[in-house]
Amino acid sequence: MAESGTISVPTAARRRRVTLRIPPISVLLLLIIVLMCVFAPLVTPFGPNDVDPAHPFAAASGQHWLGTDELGRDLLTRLLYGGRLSLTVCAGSVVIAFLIGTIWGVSAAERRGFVEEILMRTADVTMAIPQILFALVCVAAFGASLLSLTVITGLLLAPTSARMARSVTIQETSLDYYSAGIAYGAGKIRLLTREVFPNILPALASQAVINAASAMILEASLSFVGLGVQPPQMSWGVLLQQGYGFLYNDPTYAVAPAVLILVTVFCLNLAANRLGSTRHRKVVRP
Amino acid sequence: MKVAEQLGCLEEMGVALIRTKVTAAIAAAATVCGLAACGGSTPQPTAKATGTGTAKVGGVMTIGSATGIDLLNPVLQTTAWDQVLFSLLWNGLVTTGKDGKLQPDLASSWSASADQKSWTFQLRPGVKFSNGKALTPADVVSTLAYYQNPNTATEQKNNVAQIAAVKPSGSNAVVFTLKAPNAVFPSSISRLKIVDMAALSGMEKNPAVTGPFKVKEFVADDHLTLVRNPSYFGSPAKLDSIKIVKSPDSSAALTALQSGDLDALWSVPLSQVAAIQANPKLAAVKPSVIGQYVSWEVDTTQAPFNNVKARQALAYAIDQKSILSAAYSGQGSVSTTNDPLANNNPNYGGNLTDYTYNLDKAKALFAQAGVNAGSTLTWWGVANQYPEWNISAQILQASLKKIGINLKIQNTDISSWPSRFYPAGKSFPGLIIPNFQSYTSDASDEFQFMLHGRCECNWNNDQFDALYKSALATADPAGQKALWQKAQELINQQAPIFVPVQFATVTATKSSVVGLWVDSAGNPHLEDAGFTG
Repeated sequence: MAESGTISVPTAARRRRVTLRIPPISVLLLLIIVLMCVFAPLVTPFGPNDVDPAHPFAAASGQHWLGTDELGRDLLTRLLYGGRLSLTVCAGSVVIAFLIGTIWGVSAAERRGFVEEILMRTADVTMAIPQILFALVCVAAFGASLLSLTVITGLLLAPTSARMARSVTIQETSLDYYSAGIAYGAGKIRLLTREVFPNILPALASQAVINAASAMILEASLSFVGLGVQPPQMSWGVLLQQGYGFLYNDPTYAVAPAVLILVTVFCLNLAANRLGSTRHRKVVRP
Repeated sequence: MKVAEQLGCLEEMGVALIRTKVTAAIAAAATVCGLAACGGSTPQPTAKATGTGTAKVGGVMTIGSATGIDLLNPVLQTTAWDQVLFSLLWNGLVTTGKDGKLQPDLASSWSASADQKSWTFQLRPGVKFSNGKALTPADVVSTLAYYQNPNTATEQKNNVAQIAAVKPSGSNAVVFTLKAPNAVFPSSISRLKIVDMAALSGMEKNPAVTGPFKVKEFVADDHLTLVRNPSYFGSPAKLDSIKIVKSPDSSAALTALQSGDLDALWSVPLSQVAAIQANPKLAAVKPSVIGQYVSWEVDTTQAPFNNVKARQALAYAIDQKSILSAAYSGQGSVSTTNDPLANNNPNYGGNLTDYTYNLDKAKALFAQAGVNAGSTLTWWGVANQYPEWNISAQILQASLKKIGINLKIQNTDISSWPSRFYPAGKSFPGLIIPNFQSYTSDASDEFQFMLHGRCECNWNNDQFDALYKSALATADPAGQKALWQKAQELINQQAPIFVPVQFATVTATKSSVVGLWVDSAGNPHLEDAGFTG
């Protein structure tokens, strides 16, 4: 498709210009958090479940930078290992939402008519269900595990991805190059996957980042009501819930995971904004 | 079953579960008093009360809790917190005093027949309900009929089941005929409150009461305002009014106490008790003898815990000291003999095996029971409530891991939690169920849970039931104590439940509050409370 090639060249050039800039602080912060969690065994000498009942609620020190919890476990270590799980749920659910939502939305946009009505009204109904309530019922039914949390969160976020996918696909398929492709006899699947999808990807990526922030909050909420992962696993939400019970004994216990959740969600939202504005600039520029 | 029906049933089960434990505890407390009245009293330590000063007359006391009061009817009382009203609004024939001894209440005296099967109570003359109606023996008879009605969902089913008949005797007495001898019968009915059955329809708005306070305003699950009852037969209450309010959660309640919005707070988070004790403006009130004990249950009819060696192994694998320290913030006492009775309970004792934490013994006994390295047990707990359970689970998980046994922790919401094991008779192999029991410190009360058909552990032991029955029928305190100790030996050897610690529900008050005390079941008593002058 020579036509699409000429269209994609300036887009790619602009993309290169963007990536060559210094990453924004939000992305840098996210990167630091992710790297510290991933390489937690290199950052801390303790295990996340190394119990030391003789030293509960130890104050911050050179040995325990954030002190210890009620069982004498190193708080920083648990935060880093907990972050692994929170970020895993976050990433996994975003992938699930992205895959389901994209197929869902693109199918609706491409087929239009009755099929579109059915698909999008289903999305509307799904989005009308309170997320926490739905998640609580699902967790009660299927149990609380890393897998169930990831799948449930992913399914809950899929409709928002579907809406975005449908919207940008309709916008994209209304352009001349798509009509020309059809007129030249190109297959719809080929056009959608080879030409349309790369062009709607920035919008979907922006939505995915927003979903990541939502997934982070959803996981933390479920964990806070005690329906997140179960010990010995931990996430930031689980630590927040456990720390809340000892708010007066050791505020750091609850504040530290809360701050990490807040910073991560804030950075994700900023990154999503940046992605969105970049996409917007691409559209309005001549 | 429809979802709504299912949830309704589960909720009911959950409530009933808690209710059962609490009720049993209450009945036990009464037993102590019964012994006293019969002249065969067991010495009971004195409950701790707030302050040492004298309360001035007047003032409004606000007491809070993270739990709300749902209903006023003492017969249908559903939660432990509802019991705060027992001593404020209602009276029974007998009651338990601060010293743990049985005291006259609506009955001025009582006596038993030689066979301990017939009990006669003389009613106090001149008692009136707050609606002006005089108390008569007919009120006692009709209230008992209400308790015994199969359609009445009361906690007191077990305590009224022993009564074969209640009849008026003359103009001012009632006679109870029992199905079996019970030397501690008065104490077993101390939680039965007498109501005006003719005024039952107004019970939830403006109940007719005989207690030191009466209801001014009630909004269910939110707040209750009481004012002094001028027609109370005893010494008038010091306080003009008591407000009982609900806080969003225990942390918010504690903040309200510290800021001065509350004068007292029931069920303080155990992790905060030490901080309260260190605060000169606040005081923590606890019972002297604890009637509340942690009870972990397993199915004693299913493998692996149908083998007594597996149960004894688990008893050895429980690190009681760490659990008391980390999960219960040190607010209680360790039970190394796996005994529902606290070590300072007058009836504690017997030839008891010491189950102090010992993983070597645990591993050997588990192996004999066929529970080897790589085996998995499951902890079935409640999410977002009872954080002490979750901490205990993690301590047990770490202990079992050291001997190669996995403990899978599963916490679910409280509505679906009971469905795996409640009511008694259900099969739940391999599960460990955390729970707690709230009773008075009397042995007859605390051991009710181990009777046939009561414990979800399905330990239906005829020998224990016979010992319990014999102890009830024994008026001699020494003889009764010996029987209770035999019952403890049986529990100790069989380990049908696991009691790592006994703990207390703590009430916190401002230091200006005097006269407030807490009974062994953890219920605060405000009937004589007031403020220092």
